[in-house]
Amino acid sequence: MTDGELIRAWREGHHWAVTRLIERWRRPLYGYLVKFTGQAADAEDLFQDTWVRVLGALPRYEEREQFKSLLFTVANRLAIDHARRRSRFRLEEDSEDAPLAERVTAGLESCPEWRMAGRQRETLLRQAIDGLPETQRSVVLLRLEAGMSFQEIAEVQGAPIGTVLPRMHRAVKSIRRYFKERGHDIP
Amino acid sequence: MTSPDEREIRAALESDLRELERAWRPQEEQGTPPLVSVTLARLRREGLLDAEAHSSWRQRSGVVLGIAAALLAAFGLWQARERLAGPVSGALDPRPAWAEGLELPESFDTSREEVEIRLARVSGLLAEEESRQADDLGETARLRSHLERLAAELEVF
Repeated sequence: MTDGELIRAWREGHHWAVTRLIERWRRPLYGYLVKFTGQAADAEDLFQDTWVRVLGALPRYEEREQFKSLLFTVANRLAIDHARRRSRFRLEEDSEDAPLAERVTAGLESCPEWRMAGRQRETLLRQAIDGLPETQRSVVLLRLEAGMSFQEIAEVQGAPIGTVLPRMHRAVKSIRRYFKERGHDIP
Repeated sequence: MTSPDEREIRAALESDLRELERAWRPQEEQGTPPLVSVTLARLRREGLLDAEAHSSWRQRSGVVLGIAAALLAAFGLWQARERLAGPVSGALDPRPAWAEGLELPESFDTSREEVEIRLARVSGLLAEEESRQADDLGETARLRSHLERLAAELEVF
């Protein structure tokens, strides 16, 4: 069943349709949120908030619209708001304290098993993405986690494609620089 | 329609992103096992799970809001009408000194328009009275002057 068919079934009073929708989108949506926030608990809260908002908006949803765009537009807005609140909170923390992700990585890298190139590259990539501005982090994760096209990302971000492409270009450039500065192969 | 520049940027980006995708592992974890059931429970708690209930609740709340808005509008109109043309009542008590001798009603219970007409009439009467008094004062002054002249002539004799 397509998303549109499930939404129609929900409108006809079938609760199972919502369960199917949530299960269908669970991995990409949760994946996007957990990578964006870096916190499993925050991602789970945002996951629930997203579905509350989406179901609230479904009575106005028209089947010709892409459900994926609606879902990720809501999730993206909530994730960016969340990140902004968190960054305000972080300003109050000790600025000399290394970010948690880097400290954890430093600890892990001391283990021989963790020194595998693939793992390290993946960790570096996550760190590089974590350090990007919110809109750039969003374009990269929508692509890598949700597998979205540039056009779909533009819809989710509510920006023209002419804005999204340079945004992605800057993000990729920053990721490359991050790898280069640490003497690693560019992914 | 995409421009050649845009196509070039897209192609370069697609190539860069393919490299990134090779280094990237999509999220394997799907959250804690009850994530879906917790989400469903929350949707049920917030009354969103049942589309019919949700839409009928929306309809009901829409109707309630509509009625409330109509009542507010009607009340506002009624108040405005009252202010502009509603009946006013009261009594001229105590009767002002300037109104002595004038034919004024002891009390009134009529429309504001009627009161305004009557006030205009009173205002006209007052103007007439002032004018008459001014004439009287002029006459008095003339008499005084005449008497003073007579007194002066008597003194001569």
